[in-house]
Amino acid sequence: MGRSSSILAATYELPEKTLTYEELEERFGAENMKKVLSGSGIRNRRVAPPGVCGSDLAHNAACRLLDYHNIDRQEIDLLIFCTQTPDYFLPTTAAVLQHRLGLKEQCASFDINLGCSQYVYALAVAHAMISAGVCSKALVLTGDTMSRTAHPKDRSVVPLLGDGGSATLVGEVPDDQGFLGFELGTDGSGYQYLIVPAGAFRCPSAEETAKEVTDAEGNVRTAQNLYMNGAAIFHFAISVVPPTVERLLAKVSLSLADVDLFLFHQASKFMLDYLFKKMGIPPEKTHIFVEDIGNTSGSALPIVMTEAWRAGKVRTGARVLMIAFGVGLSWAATLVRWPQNALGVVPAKSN
Amino acid sequence: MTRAEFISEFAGIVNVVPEELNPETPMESLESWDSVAYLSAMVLIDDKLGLAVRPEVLSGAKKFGDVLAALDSALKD
Repeated sequence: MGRSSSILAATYELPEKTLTYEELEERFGAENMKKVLSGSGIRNRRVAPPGVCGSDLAHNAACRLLDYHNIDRQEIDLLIFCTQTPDYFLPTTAAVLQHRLGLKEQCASFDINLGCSQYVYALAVAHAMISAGVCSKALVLTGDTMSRTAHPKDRSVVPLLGDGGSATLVGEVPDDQGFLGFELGTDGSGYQYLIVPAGAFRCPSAEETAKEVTDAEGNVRTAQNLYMNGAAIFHFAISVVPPTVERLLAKVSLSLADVDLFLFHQASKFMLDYLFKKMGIPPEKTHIFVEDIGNTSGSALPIVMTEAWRAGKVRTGARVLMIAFGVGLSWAATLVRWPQNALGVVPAKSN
Repeated sequence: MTRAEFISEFAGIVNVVPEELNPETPMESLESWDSVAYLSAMVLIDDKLGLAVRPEVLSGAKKFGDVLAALDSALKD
């Protein structure tokens, strides 16, 4: 058995600008937005201004976390940056962040590109590397500007997407605390349900891929924009989440009743409300933070975790189950017994 | 859930009275039958019938009878 590890501290960063419900009413019409609100529970969303990247949001969150807890940057020997909107095709954005954050050269740094599920995947990798003795203190960062991938006239995605970034410190904890188990999975047969089809190497940007196409519901997009089949993603979520949670709990010989808090990927309030009802999870054991910031993709889980922590729902000894799911199709869940030596959450700033 | 109960709840999703729905009703005649309504229909079917129908079953239905046929084994008379 390797060393135990856990989340020790966390915070997040949102862009200041809010794209409001009222602005989108003007763009898409009141009736359409009423439907979108009822089908998502998302009223407002934060969007990054031109020139601000996911890495900038992650950088700011990391600086706040390191400064607030007075952590020596030379102690960090693993940096994982989770993003689907990197600064460059190459190099890996984690290398840029390692330098910007002033971390030492003996710091393993790499990106994970998995979208919604990426935070839990990164926690699994950090845990495995600490457990194996490869590293001892990890900074897991997330940051995406998914709003920029959407065509402004596509109401199937624009009202849902928000931008954001987060920072989490992962380190060693006493035995039987921290990460108790992980459950990871992939169903690549659904890769086409959530995709930016053009702009990389399979289908490079060209005149043809920049042509606007209007779908049956009046949504406009090009092949270089994000496409989402919302019904397929919803079907995937309600099909994969309950059995994944069951498998994770079976691995650690616990039941739903043994979990103190359930934190799910904040895809939409509509989806979360249904999943919690379907699984028999009472509202007091959940936390939702999506209505005014939108679905922030791979940052959604660390953001809601931070908010739950600030709200006092994440306590020493509590068993917290987190699951994220989406693009890929990909999913990942973990159960954490909150450790005695957690440093704590960074207080909110006026976002 | 009985067939009549399902029709009544489905009518609420597409904003018509249940009497307007029959197996021959073209889905394209239902103005509110769109991607948002698909989600509500999927929740209704999953929650009340215990079936996780694939979205193509709903989006590909030409007439209301196609939806009923896909759920036939789970609907009580």
